[in-house]
Amino acid sequence: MNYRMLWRLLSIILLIEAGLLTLPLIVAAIYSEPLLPFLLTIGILIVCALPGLIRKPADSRIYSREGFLCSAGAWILMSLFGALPFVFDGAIPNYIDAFFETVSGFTTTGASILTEIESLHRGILFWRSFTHMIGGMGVLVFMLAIIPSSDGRAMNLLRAEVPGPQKGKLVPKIRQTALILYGIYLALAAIEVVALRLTGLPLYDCFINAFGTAGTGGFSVLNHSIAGYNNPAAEWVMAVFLLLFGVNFNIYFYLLARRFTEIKKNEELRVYLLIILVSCTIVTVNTIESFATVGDAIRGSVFNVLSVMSTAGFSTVDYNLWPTLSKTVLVMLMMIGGCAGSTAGGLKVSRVIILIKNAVNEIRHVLKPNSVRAIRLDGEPLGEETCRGAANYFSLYFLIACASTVLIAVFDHFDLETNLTAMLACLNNIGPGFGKVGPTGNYSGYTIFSKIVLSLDMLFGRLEIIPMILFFSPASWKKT
Amino acid sequence: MIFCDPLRKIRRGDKPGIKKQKGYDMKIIITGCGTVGFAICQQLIQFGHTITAVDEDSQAVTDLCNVCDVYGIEGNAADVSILRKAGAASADLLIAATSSDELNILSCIAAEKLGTKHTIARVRNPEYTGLVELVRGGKGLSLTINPELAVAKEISRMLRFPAVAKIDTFHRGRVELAEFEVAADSPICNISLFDLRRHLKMPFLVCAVYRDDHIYIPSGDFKLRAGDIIGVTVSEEEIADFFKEIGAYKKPVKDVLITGAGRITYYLLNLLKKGKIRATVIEKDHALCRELSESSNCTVICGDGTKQELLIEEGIEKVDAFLALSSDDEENAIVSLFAQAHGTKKTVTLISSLSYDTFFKSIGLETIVSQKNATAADVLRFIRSIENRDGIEIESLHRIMDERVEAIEFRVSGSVPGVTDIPLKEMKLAPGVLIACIIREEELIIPSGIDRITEGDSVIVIAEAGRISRIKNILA
Repeated sequence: MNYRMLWRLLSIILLIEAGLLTLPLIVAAIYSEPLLPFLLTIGILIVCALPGLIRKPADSRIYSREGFLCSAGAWILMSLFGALPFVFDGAIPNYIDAFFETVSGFTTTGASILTEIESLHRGILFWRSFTHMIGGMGVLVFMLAIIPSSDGRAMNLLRAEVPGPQKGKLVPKIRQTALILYGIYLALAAIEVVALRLTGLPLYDCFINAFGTAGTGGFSVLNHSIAGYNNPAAEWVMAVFLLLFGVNFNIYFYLLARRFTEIKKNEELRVYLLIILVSCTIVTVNTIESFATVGDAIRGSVFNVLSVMSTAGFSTVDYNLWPTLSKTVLVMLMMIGGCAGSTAGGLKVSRVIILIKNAVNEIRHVLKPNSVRAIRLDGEPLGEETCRGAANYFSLYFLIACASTVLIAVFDHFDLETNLTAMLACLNNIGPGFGKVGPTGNYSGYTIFSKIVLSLDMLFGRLEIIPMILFFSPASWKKT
Repeated sequence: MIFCDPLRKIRRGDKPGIKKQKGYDMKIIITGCGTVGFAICQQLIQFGHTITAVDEDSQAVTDLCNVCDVYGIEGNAADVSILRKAGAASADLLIAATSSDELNILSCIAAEKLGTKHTIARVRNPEYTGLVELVRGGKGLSLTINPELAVAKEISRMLRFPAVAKIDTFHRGRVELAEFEVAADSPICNISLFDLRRHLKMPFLVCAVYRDDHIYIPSGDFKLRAGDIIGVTVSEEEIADFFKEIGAYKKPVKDVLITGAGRITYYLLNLLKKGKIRATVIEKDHALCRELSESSNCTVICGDGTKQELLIEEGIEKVDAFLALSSDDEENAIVSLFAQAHGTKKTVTLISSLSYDTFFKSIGLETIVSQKNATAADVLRFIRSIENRDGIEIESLHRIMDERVEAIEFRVSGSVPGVTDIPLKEMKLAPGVLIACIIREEELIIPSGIDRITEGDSVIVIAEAGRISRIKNILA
């Protein structure tokens, strides 16, 4: 266990956070709002980061354990410090509430405890949405992109943060891989800003909604989310980008590198698109009566299906009022989530594919006990470890889901639908669930204890469980 | 890594300060992630090259990727689709280092056809010499490396001068670079290099000193101490006299005892034929003994080279040199320590795959050789040469002092602004760079401030490893 290096890496992360806070600071300056909340937080971050940066440890090796602990530590610390501006500004006076809101931002969940959003300072709201942008691709990936290293061990950091069952580099160098990922991410977000501007949204809102879409977060600056704009063109633009941000970013790299065969054989992409198509059809047909026109029905269904599938959690209608079939479809989509290697949460499409193939294989194995069959993904055989990893991940996911549902129920006496979907919406990084936490409701009704549990759920979901479990298990902090 | 000029000492743990030059990033494919492939990879990654590694063994690929920032691909190195995936169409260099000669040659040919600019193959079987020549003629192969032969050559050089820990040659053997430890009673202790040179009256240059984990490029007023490890360049004719003068001369080895009859032993015996050295080889495997006895006229003993009685019977206490060259690293280390304890004058230990280099040195093994390091210099020389597009060739490249210092011989075939035709004292050399000697029409010049480099000279430059790839780089 290399404590010194871990400390150094975390200090670098805090310094990066201080750097990123200058953006909301500028926004606050533009709208001549109080700058103190940001300046104070930047100051605290720098003071906390400096001791760790003064000396470079002689031993800079990090192994997979340090990589996992670093990613969990980084996300927790960033959220702890990132909550400060909300408290200093007075937007969210209670620190636990602010922490919940910040975790929700960084993990790109979009679950909010705020009931009244529109009256808050614009700088603070910018920071709230900007955390989606930071959390979407991950701060460790950002660090790898800006700090050069020839050590292959840095891969341990990337592995701990990029979601999905299979993790690899796009190009031989980690730094370039990280740069490419961030490049694609920022370019797509920039295109979205322009596209939204063309639909007539104010520039500030363009940025806010692009952040929410790019990170698949879902914070908005209107009390009624996207419905408040009453702008069908903007809804279509966002729907398209929600679809795009739910796709594995490797696909865009292959597209840029003109490696079309790799895209063609990508099973995850095909299944992802198929699920969207099927769900959109079911939901449209099922909800058609609740909309005024067929066009509205298609737009409303497609937007909200994509919003849930990509785990963003924007809403244009209160889908709480939809028929049970549509609501059930949405809950299923919540759990599946987007593609591996995207900014979306959930189980990830490729993991679901592996799980299903694994199950089919098991049944075949019972039928012919001596048969040996390899599981294939994208036409290539998967290692046994990947299959086992997916199965084990699912059991951990199930355990965490059960445990947190029980914990929430101890102090909060909402109906099962509310509690269950609140947990699912947090663990899968969607944001709004059903019942009292539906698109028109929020999480402010929960007790402090449940808010902490749900905050942890969001972190569990974003970091894919294992880093967080390691972080809280004493065994990983032992010296050897 | 530490590297400093005499006036400036740098703390342990500081960065080596490798300057990355423009156009330095080459796309390299390495096939075979065994000991040699792994070592080459680790060497090259430091210089910022983009590396893709290919191996059939997925565990070997994973192990490499966990340590080095490389892209790993699992598959057969001669499979065209795998090579394509590895980017052979646009790669600058392919290094085929699997354990199979045939596979290496095949992947080089395939890569060249796909568009790789240069290829290096590890070819060990001497029977393929003709094949290699043939393929080379068609530009399919730029270079072959033979780690075992390289080790054998390294050992044979050492046996000529048992006093040195390592000896490298430049300019087709005309200039020698010897690395050795200064003995406590040596007359070169506590005298400034300036006085020493006047005193000895022969052209030589102390070009690097290793003391207390620091490396110094010494100036004239530097004083050597006992225990320093120094690198000295001296001409071939005078090296024996040089060692006599400084009282470190040991007679060339006349008889050696070798354990293990592997490929290195085979090559070494061939090299030793010329030097009239009597060799005794102990090998367990009867078939190998038989094979060796057919190809060489040394004494071959079929027996267990780890048996104390056998070693003593074969005269381990009396031979001039003992070489532990079996395929078992641990065995080599133990037997060498035993030989040293019994007063063998010179022991050489082969450590092929174990990574305890520093530890083995610290427990007293005097000379360690290994396949992985022996070819690294060749590969680096080749890479630096293809980086040079200004017509200045790198004739040879050697690494001394635990691979931390490089001695590079350039052939100056054109004029280089700032380097050629100006007196050395006016040249703005980068710190830590030394011009060790100039070779002009087969005459060795140990340069002073008024000498100058002219077209057609060969120049040997000493610098921190990885710093210099073109002659221009010696300027600040």
